[in-house]
Amino acid sequence: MRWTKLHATMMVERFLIWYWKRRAPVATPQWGWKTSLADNVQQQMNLIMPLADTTGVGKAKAVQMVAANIDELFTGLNNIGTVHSARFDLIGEYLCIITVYDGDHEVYIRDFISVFGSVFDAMIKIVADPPPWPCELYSAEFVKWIGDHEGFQVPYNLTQMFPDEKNLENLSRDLVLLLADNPYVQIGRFSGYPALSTAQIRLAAGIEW
Amino acid sequence: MALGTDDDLSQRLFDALVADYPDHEVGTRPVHTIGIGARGYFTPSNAAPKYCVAEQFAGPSVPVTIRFSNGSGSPVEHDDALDVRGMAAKFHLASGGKADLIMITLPVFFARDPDEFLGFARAGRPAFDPLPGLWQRVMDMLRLRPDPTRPDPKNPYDGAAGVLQYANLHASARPGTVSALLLVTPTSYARATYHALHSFRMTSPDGIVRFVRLSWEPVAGVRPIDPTVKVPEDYLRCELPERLQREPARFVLRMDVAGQGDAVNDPTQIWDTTRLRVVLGELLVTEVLADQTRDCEKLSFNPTRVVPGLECSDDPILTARGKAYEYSCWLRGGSGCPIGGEWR
Repeated sequence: MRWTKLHATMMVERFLIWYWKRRAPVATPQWGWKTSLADNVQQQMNLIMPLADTTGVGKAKAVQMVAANIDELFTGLNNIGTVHSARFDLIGEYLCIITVYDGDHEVYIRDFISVFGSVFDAMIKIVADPPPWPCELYSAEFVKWIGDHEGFQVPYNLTQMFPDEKNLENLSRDLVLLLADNPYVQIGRFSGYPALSTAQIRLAAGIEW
Repeated sequence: MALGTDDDLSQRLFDALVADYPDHEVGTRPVHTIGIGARGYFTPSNAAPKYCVAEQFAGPSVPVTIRFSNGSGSPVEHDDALDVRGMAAKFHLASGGKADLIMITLPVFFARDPDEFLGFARAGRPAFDPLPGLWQRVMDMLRLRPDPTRPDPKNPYDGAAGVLQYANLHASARPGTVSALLLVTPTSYARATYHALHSFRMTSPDGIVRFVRLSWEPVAGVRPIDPTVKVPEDYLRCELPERLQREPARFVLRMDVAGQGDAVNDPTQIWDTTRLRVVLGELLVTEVLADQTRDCEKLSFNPTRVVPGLECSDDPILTARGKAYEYSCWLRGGSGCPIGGEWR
C-alpha cells in the first residue's frame, strides 16, 4: 500500500515537473565574475563521475586505482600549491573528487592535467561517459567534461538563484525544477578560516611549501 | 520635543510599526515589546584590538546590560510564536561612555531606506487571512508550492500575505522575506544567533578602515524547538533565569569583513559566507536583572550609540533607526536618550 502511494506520488510529481519545465522553465544560474578577493580563494570543486562498472569488482577497481596513484596525487596536489583539501570518495556508484582550492577554476583544472594527467587518464577509463583521452592532448574537451560533471553549488542567499522570479511563492517550484536538472548539489559550505589563501595559512603557520 | 523633518520621519516610522500591532500598549516599545534583561561582561579577544580601536575592545573586560526580546509589538507574550528574536547589548565603558549593539535573528533586512520601510510596514498590517481550503491546497500542490505556514496558527489576522505581496513587487524586500520564512523558534534566548544587520566602520590602530558586520553566536550552539511539540507561551522568559542559575550563557562576537564590491550601506544585501571572519571576544551573560523595569525596560538601546573606532556606516536605515529609537524612548519616558543629550 505504502509502495503504491509513494510511486503514485512520484508519477504525479514527474508529470508536474515535465509540465512546469515547459510552462515556467528555470535556468541553472551561471555565476558571474567574482569581484572580491574573498570570493577567489577557497573555491570548491565537487566532481561526480559515474562508474562504468558498478559491480563490487568495478568499485574495488576504482578504490585500487586511487590507492595505486596516491603518491602521484599527493605530490601533484602539493606542487599545485593552491589546494586547501582534496578528497577522493566512492559514493554509491560514483567516484567523487571533492576539493577546495584558490584561484581560477580553469587554471586549476589545467594544473591538475599538468601535474597528474596520467591519473586522470586512469580515472577516465573507469567512468561511464569518458571524454577523449589522454587529457593532456584534449585539454579543452577535458575542462568542459569536468564542468559537466560538477555538482551545482547552491548559494547561501536563495533569492540570488532565481533573480527573475517575481513571485516568492514559486521559489519552491523553481528549486524543484532546478534539482530535476541538477541532481548533484552542494547545499552548504563552511570554512573555519574564510577569505584566507593556502599561501597565507602556510606562511602564518610557518610551514612553507 | 520639537518635531523637525527627521523627527517627522521618526514619528512616521514609529506609527507605521505600531499600526502593525493593533493591541499595542502606549508607553511600551513599538516592537520587541516583550523582553527580559540580564547582565554580564564582555572580554575582547587578542585579535580585537588589532582590528579596532574602540574602547570596548581595549580590554580587559567590560560590564554589559543585555535585553533579549521577541520581535512582536504586542503586549501579549507569545514566546511560542514564530518570531524574530532580539538581543540588545549595552557596553558600560570604563570612560563612562556607552556603546550599544542591537541584533536580531534575521541576517538581512527588508528595506534599503526609510521610504521602503514605511511601504513594507504598511504591507505588513494584519488582515484577515484564513488558512487555505482544500481546493487551494490542491492547486498549491499542482503548482509545486509548499503548504503555507502562519506565524501564529491560532490567529487568522496577520500581515504575512501582505508582506509576501510587497516582496513580490519589491526585489529589495525578497532576501529579508525569504529569511523570515526560514525562521525557527529557539529553545532558549541563549541558543540563537543574532545579527546586527547593518555594516559598521571599524578603524584599526594603523588607521585602516574596514566595513564589518557583527554577530553574536551562542557557544552552546543554535537549537530550535520541535515545532510539533507545544511549549508554554512564556517558556523563553522562564528558561533564561533557570539557565543562568546553573551557568553563564556565552556568546562569541564575530565580525565579517566586507570584500570588494560588497554593499556596505544596504542591509537588504546578504554577504557571502566567504568573507574574512574574525572573533572579537566573548560575552558571558551571568544573571537576570533584579529590577527589570528600571534597569532594562526603561533603558534606551540604540543601534547608533557607538564610540570612535566602531562607527555607523552611511546606511540610511541605520540613520533612521537611530532617530526613531530616540523618538520611541522619549515617548515612553525611557532613560539614556537622546544620545549625548540631556533630556533623559
